[in-house]
Amino acid sequence: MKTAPYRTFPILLVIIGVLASQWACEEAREPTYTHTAILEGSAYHRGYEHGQLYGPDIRSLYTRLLTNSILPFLNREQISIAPILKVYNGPAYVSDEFSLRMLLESGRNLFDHHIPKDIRWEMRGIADGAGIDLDDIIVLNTFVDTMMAFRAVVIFIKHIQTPYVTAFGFSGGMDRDQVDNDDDGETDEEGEGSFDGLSPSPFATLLEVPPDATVRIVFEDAVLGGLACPDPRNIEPIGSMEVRADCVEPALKGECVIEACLDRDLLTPECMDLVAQECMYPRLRGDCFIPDCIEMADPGCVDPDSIRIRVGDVQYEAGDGTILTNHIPWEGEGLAPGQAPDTNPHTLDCQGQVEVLFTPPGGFEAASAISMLLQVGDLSPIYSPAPFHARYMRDEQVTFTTQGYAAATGEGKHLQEVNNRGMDDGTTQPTSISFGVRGSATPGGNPLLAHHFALLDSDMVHEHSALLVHVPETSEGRPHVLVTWTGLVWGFSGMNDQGLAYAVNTSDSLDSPLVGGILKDILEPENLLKLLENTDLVGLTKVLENRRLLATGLPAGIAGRQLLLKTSNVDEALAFLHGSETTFGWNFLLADAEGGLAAVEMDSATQDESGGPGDTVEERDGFFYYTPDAGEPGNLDGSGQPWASEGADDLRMASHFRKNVEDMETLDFMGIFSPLPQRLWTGMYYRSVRAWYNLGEAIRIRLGTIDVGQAIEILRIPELVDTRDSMNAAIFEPAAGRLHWAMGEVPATDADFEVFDLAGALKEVAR
Amino acid sequence: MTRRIATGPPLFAILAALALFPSPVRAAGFTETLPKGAFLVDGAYMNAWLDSRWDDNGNPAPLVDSLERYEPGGGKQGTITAYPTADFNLFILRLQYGILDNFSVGIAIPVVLSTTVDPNLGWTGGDYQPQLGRPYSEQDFWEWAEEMGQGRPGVWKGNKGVMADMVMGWRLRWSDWIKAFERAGVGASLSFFWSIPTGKHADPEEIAAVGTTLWDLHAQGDLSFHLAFDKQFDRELDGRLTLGLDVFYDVFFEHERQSPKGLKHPLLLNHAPYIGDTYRVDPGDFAGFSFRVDGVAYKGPAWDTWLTKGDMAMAHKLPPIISLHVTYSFVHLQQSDWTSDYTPWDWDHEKLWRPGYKNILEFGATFSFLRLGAPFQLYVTYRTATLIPGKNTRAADVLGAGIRIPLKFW
Repeated sequence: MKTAPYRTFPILLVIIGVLASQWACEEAREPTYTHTAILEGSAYHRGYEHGQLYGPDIRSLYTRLLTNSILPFLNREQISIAPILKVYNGPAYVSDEFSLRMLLESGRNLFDHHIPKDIRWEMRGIADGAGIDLDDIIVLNTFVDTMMAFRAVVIFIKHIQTPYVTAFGFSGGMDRDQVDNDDDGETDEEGEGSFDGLSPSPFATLLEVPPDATVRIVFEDAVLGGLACPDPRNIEPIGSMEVRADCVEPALKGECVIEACLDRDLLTPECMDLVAQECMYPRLRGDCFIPDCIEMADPGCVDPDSIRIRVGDVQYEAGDGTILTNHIPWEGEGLAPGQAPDTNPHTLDCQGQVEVLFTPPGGFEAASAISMLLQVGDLSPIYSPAPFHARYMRDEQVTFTTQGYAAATGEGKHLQEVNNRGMDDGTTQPTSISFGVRGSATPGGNPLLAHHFALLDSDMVHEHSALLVHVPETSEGRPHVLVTWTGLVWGFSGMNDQGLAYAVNTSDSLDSPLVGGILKDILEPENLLKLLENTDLVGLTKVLENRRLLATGLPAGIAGRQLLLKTSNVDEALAFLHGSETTFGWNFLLADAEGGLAAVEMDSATQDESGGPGDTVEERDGFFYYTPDAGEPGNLDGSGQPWASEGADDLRMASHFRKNVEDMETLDFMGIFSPLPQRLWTGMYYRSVRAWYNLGEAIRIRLGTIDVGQAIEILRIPELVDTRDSMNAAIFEPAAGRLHWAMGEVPATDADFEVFDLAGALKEVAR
Repeated sequence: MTRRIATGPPLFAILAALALFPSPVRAAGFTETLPKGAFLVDGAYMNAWLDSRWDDNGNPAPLVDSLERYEPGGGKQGTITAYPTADFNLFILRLQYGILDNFSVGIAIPVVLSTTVDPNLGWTGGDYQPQLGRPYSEQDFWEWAEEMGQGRPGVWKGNKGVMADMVMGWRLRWSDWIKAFERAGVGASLSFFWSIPTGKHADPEEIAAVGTTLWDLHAQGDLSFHLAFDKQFDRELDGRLTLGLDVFYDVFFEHERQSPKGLKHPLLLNHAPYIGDTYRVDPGDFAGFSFRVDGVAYKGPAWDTWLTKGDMAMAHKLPPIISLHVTYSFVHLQQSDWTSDYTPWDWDHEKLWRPGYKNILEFGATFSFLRLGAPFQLYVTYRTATLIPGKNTRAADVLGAGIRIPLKFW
């Protein structure tokens, strides 16, 4: 018995063993973020099944993308829109409601008047199946089209308030160097090497610049008057009515409110009447502020200390000795030419132009193509949208060659021979890209369509990726597969049972129904008269009194969906798109099983609708297409080169227009408010141009060998991958009815490319 | 603002100090019980602090992951880094009663005096933003977020005088019925504890809030089973050394919790629309063992006082004046299971609570004045989970001090 206690230890060990066995309980595993489903039946039934399958995912996408991200993000832009479109100052659009209401009104307009009936039923089905309000499904399915157009308007409004380049050129004797530096057919004409302003281009700006030349740039700041934003945080209510306000600029610290207003509430929501110019900020009575304060808030001055010039991967900044600045004051009466004195008295020393002279240490590298990036800000701080910042102009990108380049490379005799590609310096991301190959570009001759879409992941959209096969009732259209997200009735790419495949990218344009509506109001004869009477912001707000931002046309993804439902090959798809009204600027790339390949650049054709769609595809306004066939003049640019092909059987697109370069013509009578073509204002432009060139190079060196493996390799080239907002990647094999898709990660191309056999799946369904 | 924030209960793995029978009156060990008819009142103050966790690789890491922020369509704004620290003040009142010499029951009533959580947010800049002319600075980002409706989370202070879950239990030293154990100087006991859900869940609308349930405190299970052995060396070392082994299994019940609706943090904590109004957490069970060494540092004199009614023999049986102990505990942690309407959200939480373990060391000293006729003991303990690496667990340190007063009315 003495050993009895120790006999318990084996029992103990057994107990420990039992306990240890439960330690091996299952460890949680990361769920997959991609969904696949085959949806059959009527549109409503397919939608219902979709909603039932993915209800929580749809709610997650709506909540996290829209409620938590896009809606509050767009609410911040009310301040940019409301001063011009007064309807958005109304009580129905109080700050938290603005974006949702705007997107819903626009979405409802699309739903009620433009989206086909079957798609509408599918959306109803999703709403019912998921137990989500139909309005939410409408917003989820239409916000991209409205948001892109809205965003373009906002960016444009911001763009016209930033500094801009009024003169650009080089010293160094280009008017006597025996070279046609600007490739205009004239050699050494007066002023050669200098330009009024800067014309963004995918090509070089100048050729054979002397390496020791000095760059001369003249900047000027825009002053609109009325859009100035004093810091609302400096407005301190005293008691219930009295208001004390300090100007932003320390030099003018002190009371800016005129005596008569000291007892008035300056923070009134009714203070939105820009027609009377009583407000300089949506909630502040402008007539209560002394003019110096208003001017100080938006003085119209370039900030010479903010100048930044990058040559290659070397950045030069004001104050580092390479950049010299000269202030050029306004001449005559302290007024800018053409500037109305009552909106901007121009009494501040900083007003005028800033001339920049820049010479990199040691000069530019000889016999090289030099890429240069310019940026400058002004002295007009913006408090909203936050954060506080000066107004910065878009990074402008210029490429030129230096003396000896043409001799050394055999290229560079014409501007088009030198790409304005810029640097892959990591400061910006590439845009969406797509390419198609066939015949000689591939080892087996089979066509491929590859796509990498990047726009808006916000670190969460990829969790809602879906590959959805639709098998509609025969009367509703063809079976097809969409590369999409839960809750959506469309995708940015897809393919049908006939092998017709599409991929669509955004292409920023002001030629949208939103701007079109604004132009329509402006061009009313009665309104033109009003504008002539008031050529400034006040006049503009008068004529846009009741204008709302409503998208019209067929949303791009739904247009793609219709292609899959209704067409079988590229020719039919072209005809369909040609007959469609679209919501924004979009770049469609089409491929079919027979090797058909076409690129379509579309905008809303709002400027000249007089002739309507033409008899031929090419004649319709806002519709530009091209194929790799060099035999067709429409497929070649002004220099006789294909628009977007490296060989006879490839075609590519990014997120800018190649052929539709004047997507929006300027309207001189609108002055600074004139709409502009995309290349002049969008921040996507240079990113897209660079991606497009990089993609071309990747295709060129692989011509003849591009199969699925090579296409994946191209999509994964780091310079072509947006590591922030990549959303999905897919490669379609139209002839084989197969696709290879990568989703669920950021970037999407980091995920494995899964194979999906559409033809096989449809056979299974048929059984 | 998009990324789901993993929030919710156990921000802290703190207090395993709720044990009902902390250390005995008579001597040290896992198997001690009160004499029949005796009460023990034990009041302890504890301060716990926490600023790191052991990750899935057993490396120290901040309590929460950094959060990458993206502007919609505008690239990476930057990374919100967080090095939260938490401070927990707790008072525990324990009452025990000896029904038999080898069978005691008791109750522990823990009250959280205060909790402070400082998120200690930092910032690492992201992509260059052309429209700003710079990358977002920390100030830029929070100005931006504030305009989006999301203010910067600040220091959270709460749980002032809030009850934690109460614990009741009993201990039976069954070895008393087997003479061989006594001859071998071995004690063996079985203990069982269960919780009474008097604690509260963390406010779901607060990012840094902490609840006061046993799961929040990561102390012990809702049910707790202990099988313990002590070996005393009475003959060999005059009772100056005791070795103890305790094997335990703790069961946590599944809890239902309210989902955050974004009432205070509309962009960071707006989860209810897609995860449902409530979600369930099955914390997973604890299992492990403790090994304890008790030593007498100073036995001291024994006086024939009123406590022993002048009985010197009894006085000599009273605990030594200064005793020390060291305890090592290994606690295996099961996978926690979160169940909401949205599986990826569940994973965001589950990945922080994968199977793991913690290694805990406790050092303690007890100053007993019973031998001198004063009816109380003072004790201090320091308990740490930071010295020896763990896995998938918070690394908390706890400093405690308390007083024990034995009472006997008949």
